[in-house]
Amino acid sequence: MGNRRGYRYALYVLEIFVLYLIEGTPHLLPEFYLAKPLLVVPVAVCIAAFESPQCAIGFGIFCGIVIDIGTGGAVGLTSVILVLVCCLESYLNSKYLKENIYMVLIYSAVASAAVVSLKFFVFYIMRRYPDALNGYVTHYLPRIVYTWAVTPFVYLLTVLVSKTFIKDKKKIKVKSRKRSVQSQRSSASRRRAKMQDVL
Amino acid sequence: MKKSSHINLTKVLGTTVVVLLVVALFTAAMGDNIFASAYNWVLSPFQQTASELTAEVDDSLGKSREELMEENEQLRSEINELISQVVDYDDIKKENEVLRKYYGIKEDNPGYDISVATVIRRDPNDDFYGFTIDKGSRDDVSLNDPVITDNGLVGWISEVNVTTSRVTTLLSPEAKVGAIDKKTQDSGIATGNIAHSDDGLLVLSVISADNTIKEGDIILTTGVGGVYPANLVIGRVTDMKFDRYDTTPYAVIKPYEDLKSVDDVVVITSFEGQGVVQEASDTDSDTSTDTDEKTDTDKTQATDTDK
Repeated sequence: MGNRRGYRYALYVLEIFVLYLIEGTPHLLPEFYLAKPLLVVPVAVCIAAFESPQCAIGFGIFCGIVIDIGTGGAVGLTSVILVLVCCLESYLNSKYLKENIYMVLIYSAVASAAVVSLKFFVFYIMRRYPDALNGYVTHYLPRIVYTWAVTPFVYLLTVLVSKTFIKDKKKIKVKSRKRSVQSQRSSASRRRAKMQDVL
Repeated sequence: MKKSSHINLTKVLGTTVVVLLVVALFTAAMGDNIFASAYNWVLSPFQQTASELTAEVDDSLGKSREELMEENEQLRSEINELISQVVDYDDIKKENEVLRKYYGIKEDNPGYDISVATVIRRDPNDDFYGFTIDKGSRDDVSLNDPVITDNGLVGWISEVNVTTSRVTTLLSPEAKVGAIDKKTQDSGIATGNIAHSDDGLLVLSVISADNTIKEGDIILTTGVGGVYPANLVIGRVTDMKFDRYDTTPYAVIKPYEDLKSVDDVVVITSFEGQGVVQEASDTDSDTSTDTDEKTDTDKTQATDTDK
């Protein structure tokens, strides 16, 4: 089981790097109102949906660092937001809710809005650039929408990774359950046969 | 049952014959045979390949099995060698094209030390189309080095790593380049703002109220601040406007290079006069002459005069 988890985490890391490369490659992704998506944000949210809160925190930190390195400047601000969102999501999934794409979409919307708005605050407001409202509406809002819109595709990819290495565990559980059911049936049939003999 | 199937078959046969006759009459009557054209267009690639294959087979019919196998091996190794040469050729050709483009810059400016770089990443978080290049400190790239193409100034190095560097373009409000109109000698500061950056345009601000800048004028760097070399092309004026808040005039500049999609750039790692703040001429003393700065946008600080 330890190996399986290790493979899963390694694939998550690979997924993050691949999507990071894709989002930054020039002339690759189409623009939506001059905006391009941040593919790493939905990855963090999707991973948190399938993993424990501790793992969600780790990947939230990692994804945030990757995003901040790509943007330049201070590293860690995005990690804070992703850690909070991912940890909350993972905790709620483990205790009260069931993981499903609708909840992932909600968390992704929150994370996208928070990350992009933070970037707006740090790289625009704090630098006192003019036309802040215009800038937010024309550049940052489309980015939020586009980032949220690619979440289903990232979710499918993450499901593929996580379910591949969880399936075996479920099969074992199902097999053992079947075996126990079969043994119960066979013992019940023996008891019936005995009763019939007696009668 | 037999009779009905017999009748169906007859009907199908009859229909087919009639259709064929009609098609034959139709194509015979037409001068330009569209069916033949379509047929040839679809099948000609296959016909070509087939004819080449048969020619090869004809050639090889007179040879023994061993000879054919030996020839096959020889041809395989030749193909592999040619493939690797083609790949190298494409790389070298591309590099040659890029270097040819920038050879003119080096020839015109022997005092420049340049490093040719390729854009490897464009961050989606960057509103002003900044990008990352594949040259870093190990290639003698330093912070604030100017970045140009053969069409003019593009931006400057805003972050340096060992193997990569980040370039901030002139479309950013952080850019404050001392600029001058080549024809009228009116000077100002070339900078970016979000309203114009989407169209790939800059603004020339802090110009005098009695300027004579016109549409079509070429804007160059002054080189006064010591950050950019003098006489680098920034762009041409496309419009003259007035600021909506304080009605000061500004010119809209369209760079000759498309800053939003540039792929290959040159970093000027050193040039004569780099880091040396020159004295402005007396006629330009009221405008910014020490403004090749990339600090926060602050209009009260923009017009630093050196005297």
